[in-house]
Amino acid sequence: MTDKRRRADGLLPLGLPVPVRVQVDAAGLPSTVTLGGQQGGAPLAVEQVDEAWRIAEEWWRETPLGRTYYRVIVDGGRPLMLFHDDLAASSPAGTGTAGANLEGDWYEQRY
Amino acid sequence: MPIACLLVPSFALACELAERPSLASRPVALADIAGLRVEDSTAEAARRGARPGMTLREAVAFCPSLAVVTPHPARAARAAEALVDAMAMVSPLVEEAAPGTVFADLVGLVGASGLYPERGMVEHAVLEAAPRALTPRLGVAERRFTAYAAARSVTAGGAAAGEVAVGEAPARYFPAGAGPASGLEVGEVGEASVPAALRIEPDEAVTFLAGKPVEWLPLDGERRERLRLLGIETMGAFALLPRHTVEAQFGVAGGRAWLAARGEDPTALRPRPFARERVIEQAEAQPPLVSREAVQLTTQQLLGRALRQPRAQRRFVRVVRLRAVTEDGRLWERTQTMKEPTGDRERLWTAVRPLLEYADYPGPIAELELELGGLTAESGRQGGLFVDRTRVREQLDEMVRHMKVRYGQSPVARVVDVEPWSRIPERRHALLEYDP
Repeated sequence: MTDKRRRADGLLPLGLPVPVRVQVDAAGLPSTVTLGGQQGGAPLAVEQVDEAWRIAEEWWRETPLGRTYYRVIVDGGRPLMLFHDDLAASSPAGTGTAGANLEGDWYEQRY
Repeated sequence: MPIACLLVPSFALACELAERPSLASRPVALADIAGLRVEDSTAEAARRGARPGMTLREAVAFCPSLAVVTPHPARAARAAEALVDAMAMVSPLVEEAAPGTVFADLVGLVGASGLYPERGMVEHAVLEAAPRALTPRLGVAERRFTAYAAARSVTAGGAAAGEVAVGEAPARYFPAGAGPASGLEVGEVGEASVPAALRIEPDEAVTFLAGKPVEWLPLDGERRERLRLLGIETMGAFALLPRHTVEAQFGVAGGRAWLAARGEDPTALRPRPFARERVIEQAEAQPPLVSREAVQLTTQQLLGRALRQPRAQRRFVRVVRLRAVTEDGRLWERTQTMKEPTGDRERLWTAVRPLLEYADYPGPIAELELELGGLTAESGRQGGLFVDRTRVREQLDEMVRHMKVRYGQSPVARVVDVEPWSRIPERRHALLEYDP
C-alpha cells in the first residue's frame, strides 16, 4: 500500500478532507456546493445551514490551523459537513464577496 | 402452586423386590454393583443388624436368614421412567429429582376449571398409572419439600410414618381406591402393596412437618450429623431456631432447609424437557452384541433413524444420550452435549463415536438406545462470540499471508485510534497495515 497520504509513521489517516467548490452568499455562508471526485457533477444548492463553528488549533506552531465548519443541508435533503480553511484563503470566511468561487479553500469532511 | 411427589423409598431395592414378591416376608439386602457390600436393606434386615455399608459377609453373620439380591440398573432405570410417565399422565411439568422421586406441578389441574374437578382425582390418576408393584407413595402439598415429606410419611397400608413427636394428624389420608374416584385395584402382591396418597393443606404444613425427623431435610450428611449432635431431632425444633443462627451455622443450604421445615420451601420445580424436544430410537440385539464394531454399526443405524423422525426434521440437536443394557441387566449410559447444536449426521456421529470407541461395556449388549435431546426450533446456526471469532481471525491471517506473498504487501489494514480526542477529524483515526 503506497499512498502519498500515508504519514511517516506508516499510518494512513482516516476522514481526510476532500476539496469541493463552494459559492458563498453575501453573508459569506455557502450557497452552492460542487462535490469533487466521483461524487462530482452539478452544483448542489444549499437549502439550509444548520450550524457553524470555528476551530483554531496549533496556533503556536509554524503552520497553525484555522477552520470554519458548516453543517449544511443541500438540495434533496442530504446533509454535508463543509469547512473553509481560514488561513489558506485569500478572503476569510464570512467576509467573502457574494458569488465568489473559493475553490481550494473549501473542503467536505466527515466530522 | 400445588406440587405432587411420587416416591418409592429405597428405590433400587424396591425394584428388585418387585421382581421377587416371594422375598417380601424375608429380611433382604441389596448388594452393591461390585457385589461386596450392602447397598441398602429392608427394615427387617436393618433391625437384625444388616445395615448399608457393611460387607455382605458381616451382614450375613448378623442375619443368617438374609436374602441378598444383586442390582439390575437397567431394570431400575425402566421403573424410574415408568414413575415419570405416571406423573406425566397428569401434568406436563414433571421433574425427576432422583430415581424413584418424581415431582409434578399440579397448577391449574385441580378445581372447577381444571382437568380434575374433584379433590383426590389427581392422586388417584397418578397412582393408577404408576407401577403398583413398587408401592409408590404420593404426597401433595403447596411446597415441594412438604409434598416430599407427605409422600415419605405414607406407609403401605395406610399409616403415616416418621412421627417423632406426634402432633395433631391434620392431613387427609386415604389409601388409593378409597379416594373420591375409587376403583383402584389392590396390588398383585397383597395388601402391603396398596399405594396411598397424602395431601397436606397449606395451613396444615407447619403442624404436619413439626414431628418429622430432621434426617428428611435437604441437608448433606455432615450437617445432619451436626444437628443430631446439637440434639435437634425434629423439624419443629429446627424451625424454632432463629433463621440467622441457622444460616450462620449451616450456610445457604441451612437457610433453605429452615424454610423447608416451616413449610416454605422456596425450591422451584425444574421440569424435564417436553417429550417433543427429544426423539428416542431403540434396538434389541439377538444374539447380544459383543464386538465394538457391531455396537458402532447399530448406533449409526439408530442415529440415522432418529434423524429421520419427523420430530427431528429441520431441527438441531443439543444432547445425545446413549444407553446400553447388557444381557444380564447391567446398564451403560453416556451423554454427550454438543458444543453447538447441529442437525448434521456426520457431526453428530463424530461426537458420538469416541464414546463408543473407548467404552468399557459391562457385558454383551442386548439393548441399545439412542436419544437426541434438546431439539431446537431453529434451522439456522448461532455463531459463538469468541470461538468463531478466533477461527475467523486464523482464516484471515492465512489469507493475508497468501496475498502478501502474491502482491508484496498486505492489502488489509485495521482501524486504530490515534488521537480520538482531537478536534481535527483526520487526526482521530488511521489505518494501520495488517501484518499477521
